[in-house]
Amino acid sequence: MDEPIQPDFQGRLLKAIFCRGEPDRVPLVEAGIDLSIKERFLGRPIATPFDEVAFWTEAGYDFVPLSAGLRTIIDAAIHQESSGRFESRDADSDRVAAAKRFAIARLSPQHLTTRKDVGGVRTWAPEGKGFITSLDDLAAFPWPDPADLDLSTLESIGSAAPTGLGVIPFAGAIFSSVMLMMGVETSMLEMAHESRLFQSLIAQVAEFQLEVVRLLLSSPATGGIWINDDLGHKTGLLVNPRLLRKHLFPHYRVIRDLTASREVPLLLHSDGRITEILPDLVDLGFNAIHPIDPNGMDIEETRQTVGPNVCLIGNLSLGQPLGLGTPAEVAAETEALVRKMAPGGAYCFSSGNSIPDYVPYENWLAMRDTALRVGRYPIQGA
Amino acid sequence: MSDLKQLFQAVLDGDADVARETVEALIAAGTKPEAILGQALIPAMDEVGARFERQEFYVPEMLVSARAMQSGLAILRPLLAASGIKASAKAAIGTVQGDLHDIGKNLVIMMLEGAGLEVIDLGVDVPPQRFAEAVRNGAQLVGISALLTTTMAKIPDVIEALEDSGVRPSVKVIVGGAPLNQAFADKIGADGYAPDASQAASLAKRLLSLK
Repeated sequence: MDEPIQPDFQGRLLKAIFCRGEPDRVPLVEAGIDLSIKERFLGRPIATPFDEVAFWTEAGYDFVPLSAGLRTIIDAAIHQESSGRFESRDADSDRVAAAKRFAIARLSPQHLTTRKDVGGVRTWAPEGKGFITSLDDLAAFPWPDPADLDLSTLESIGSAAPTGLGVIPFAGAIFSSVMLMMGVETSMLEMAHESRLFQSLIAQVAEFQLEVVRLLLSSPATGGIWINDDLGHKTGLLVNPRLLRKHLFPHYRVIRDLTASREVPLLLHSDGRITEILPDLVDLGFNAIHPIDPNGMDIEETRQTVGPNVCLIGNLSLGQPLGLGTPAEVAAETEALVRKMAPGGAYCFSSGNSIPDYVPYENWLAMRDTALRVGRYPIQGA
Repeated sequence: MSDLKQLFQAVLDGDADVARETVEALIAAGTKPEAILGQALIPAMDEVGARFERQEFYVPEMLVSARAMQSGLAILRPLLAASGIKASAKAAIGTVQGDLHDIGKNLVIMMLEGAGLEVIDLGVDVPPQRFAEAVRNGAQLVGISALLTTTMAKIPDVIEALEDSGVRPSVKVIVGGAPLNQAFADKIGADGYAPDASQAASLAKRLLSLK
C-alpha cells in the first residue's frame, strides 16, 4: 500500500486538531478499539505496551490512546479487572484496590460484568444505584491518591513509540465519573435537586481528576488530554446546561488552561446530541470534539455552529454501516464522509463512537483502508 | 389555586410528597379518581413531555416529575380498579433479550403511564415469546428497547414471535434505543420508532388513536 502509514503526530494529527490547514492526509482517530480487532490485525496478542504501540503505528494512527484517572479505576472495578491504571496489567496499589473493593461491595451483581461478556450483558455504568448514594457513602469512600497514578506505562509507551507517534491520555472525566459512582438514575435525581451530595461529589471528583491531569501533563510523553464525559443522549443533553455551566465547565476551563500552558490539545468525547452546548465548548477552548454520533448530531450543522477553528472527529455510524453493514457499505460511507468533511482540514476520521467487539473485523478494516486511501490531500472528488 | 391545579403543578415541580397529599385531599373531598387522572396527572405529564421536547426539561426533571406522577397514581390505581374504570389502553414494554439496560425503558414506561396507559414492565433481557405472551394477555402495544447494535439485531425476533403467535395484527409495535432509527424500524416492520421517552408516549397515543 502506498498510503502514508508512518505516524506523524505533530505534522498530521496536531495540524488537523489545531486547525492549521490540510496535512498530508486525514488523520485516523479512535477512542478505543476492541482487543480482538487489534490482536487480529497485529497477528499476535497484545501483552505489552510495545504491542500497543505496534498496533496503533502499523494500523495508521498517529497516537496511542490511554485511560487514566478515576473513571478508569471505577470502570475496572465494574468490569472486575485487575488494573485501574492506563492499560497496564500491573497490580493495583493498595489504595486503588480499596476504592475498587468499596465499589464492588455496594454494586448489585448485575452491574458487575466482565469485558468478555458479549451480547449486551454489559453496562458502562450502573443504571440504578451506584456505590455512592448518600453523604455517608461519600464520607466512607476510600479515595485513591492521584499520586498512585502509575506513569510508567505512559513513559514506557512514550519511549517505545517510534518517531512521530504520540500519546494522548483519556483523563479529566468529571460528569461521567459522578454518574458511574452514583449510578445513572441516582445521579439524575440528585442533580434534579442539585443536592448537597451531588455538589460535594462532583467537587471532590473534579479535584481528583484535575490532579490526575496535572500529573499527566508533568510527563513529556503526554501529547494532549482527551476528556471522555458523556453529556448527551440521543435527542439532547442529559441535564440542564445551567448545571453544566455551574458545576462542570469551570473545571474544564482549568484543564484547558493546563493544556494550553503545555501547548498540547484538549479534546472532548461525549456521546449523544450536545448541540446545545457547542458554543460553550468553543468558548471553553476545546480544540476538538468527538465523535459527532450521526444518530444524534449532524456533522455539517456542527461545523457551522463551531466555526472553522475547532477540529471535528467522527462520525461514521456505529450501527449502520459499521456494526450491521457490509464492508462495501462501510467503504462507501467512509468515502462520502471524507469527501464531505475533510477539505480544508480541521477534521479527523473516526467512527461515531469507538470500535467495540461487535464491529466485524472486516468492517473496521474497510473503514481504515478506505480512509487511508481517499483521505490523502488534496481530497479527490470533494 | 384549585387542588387539581396544585396537583398539576406538583407533578411539574417533581414534588412527590405534595402530589401524594393533594391526591389524598382530592379523594377525601369527593373528586372522582378518573377526574384526578384525566384533569391533572395526564395533562401534567403531557406538559412534562412538551417541556422535554422544547429542552426546558432534561432527564432529571422528567424523572422527578414522573416519580411525582407515580406517587399520585399509586393512590388512584386501586380506586380506579374498584370503580371498574380501565386504562385507555394496555402496553407491554421490555428490553430485548441479551440486553440489560433499563433506564431508557423505565422512562418510557413512566411517560406511557403518564399518558394514561396501563403498562406491563417486562423487564430486561426479555425473550421474544414473553412479548407475544403479553399480547395474548391483552397488551395492545408492545415497546421494545435495545441499547446496543448487537442486541438491536434481535428486535426482529420479537416481531417474528408476534407473527408466529398470530397476534401481530392485534398489536402495535414501537421500538427505541440509542442505535435505532426510523429506517431500522421501517425495515423490520415495526409500527413506529421514537428517539426518546416523550416522543414514545406521543407515538403510542397516535398509534392507539388515543387523545
